[in-house]
Amino acid sequence: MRIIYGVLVVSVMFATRFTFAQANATVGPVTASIHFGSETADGARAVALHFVLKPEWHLYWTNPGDAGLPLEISWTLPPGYHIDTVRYPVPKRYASETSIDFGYPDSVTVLATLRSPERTSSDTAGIVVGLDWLVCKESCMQGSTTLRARLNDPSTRWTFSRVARAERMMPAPWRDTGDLRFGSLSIMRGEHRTELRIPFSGPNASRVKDFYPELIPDCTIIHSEIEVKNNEIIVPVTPNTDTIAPERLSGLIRLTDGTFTLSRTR
Amino acid sequence: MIRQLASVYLLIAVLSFAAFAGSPEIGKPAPDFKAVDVAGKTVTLSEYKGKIVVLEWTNPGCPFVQRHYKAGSLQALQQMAADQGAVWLTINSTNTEHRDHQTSEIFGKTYADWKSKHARLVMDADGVVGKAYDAKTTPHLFVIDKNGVLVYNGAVDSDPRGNSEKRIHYVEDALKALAAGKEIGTHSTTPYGCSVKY
Repeated sequence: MRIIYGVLVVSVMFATRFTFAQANATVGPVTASIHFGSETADGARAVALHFVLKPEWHLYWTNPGDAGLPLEISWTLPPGYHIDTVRYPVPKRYASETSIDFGYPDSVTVLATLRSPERTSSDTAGIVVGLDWLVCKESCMQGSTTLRARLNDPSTRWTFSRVARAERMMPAPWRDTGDLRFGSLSIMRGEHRTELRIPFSGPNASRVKDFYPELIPDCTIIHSEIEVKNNEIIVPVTPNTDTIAPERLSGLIRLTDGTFTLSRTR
Repeated sequence: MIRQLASVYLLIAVLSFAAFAGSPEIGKPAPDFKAVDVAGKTVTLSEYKGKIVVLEWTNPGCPFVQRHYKAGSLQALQQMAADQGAVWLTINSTNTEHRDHQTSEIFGKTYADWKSKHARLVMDADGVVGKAYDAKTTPHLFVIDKNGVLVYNGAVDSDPRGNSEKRIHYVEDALKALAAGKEIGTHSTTPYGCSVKY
């Protein structure tokens, strides 16, 4: 009887572990893991998707550049929960004679905010995250995995300082100041090439050094010809059809002393 | 002396233009090229004047290329192109030092095993043809009409992961439009895949 009871207990423990135990996985050169911060008073909780890569490999930013593929994340959440923001750190710019790519070597943490709006938060709740990526070194490999974790699993817990460390890697939203202001988006159309321009001005205009654009729907970005000159950010694109005229340009502005997110409309 | 200096500057200007000419433009003549196929025979674009030509950049070591060939999607497209009299040139610009590089013999065997329906397999290990077209990824496709004018530049379809139910078949649509004598709706898209291993 004691043996049967013991087997039952172990079976239940194993089944529980199995159902929600895949908080990390290694696929080829990528080890992915999910972590949770502590819940805040307003029901928000940081979710960190952490990737560690073998040396010389890299994953891609949301705009991979001239080649590559962005990370794809799919969330399965308990009823009442939702993800309201997903943020990526500032990527590294990889430039070669023929292409420009944006990605992450070594390790990267993607931060999301999990919310339970009606204070239904339960530490026994579990979430499932599907991940699909392309990882490249000299050659490329596609990979995917599914991570499962319960919010109360101590092995997935990240301390406040660990979450804060990931937060510090995230670009902050740009806010205009008297020293540096960004204007509205303007478009200069050519026969097969369109230039998206954002002007900037102020005594600190010389701080602006580079711009990493987010993907622009229905346009091919000519990354090698992105310029910052004469107090303008210039992003040349080839629209898919003659009638396409982008309404918005978003991306990262690289200043001499930091990187910020910027979005401008016409 | 001044004339010599002027000649040097002119030469530099011409070379600079060639180096930074960028991607060939839609609606303009496609750059002619000369390369060799896996049988060692010379291939030029100009020899196919009067025919629709499809250029497909490839690398058999790239997972995106492998997915398309495993699914048979590129072979089906190649067959469709052949059925309407178009010439399909599959070009490999992988440099000889790269781990994905294949000799002509192995490259030919790989695509024969994959039952590729290309017209010719072109070797471009020095990357001259690829750079002339600013080919960025594998796969990356270009469609040239019977007048030698570039009419499409970009991805084979709108589905980089191969799992979309709303896939747009850009190259297929371009070939159908050309066959029907209609205007091509989408003439440029962002290609996806591995970088070309120049």
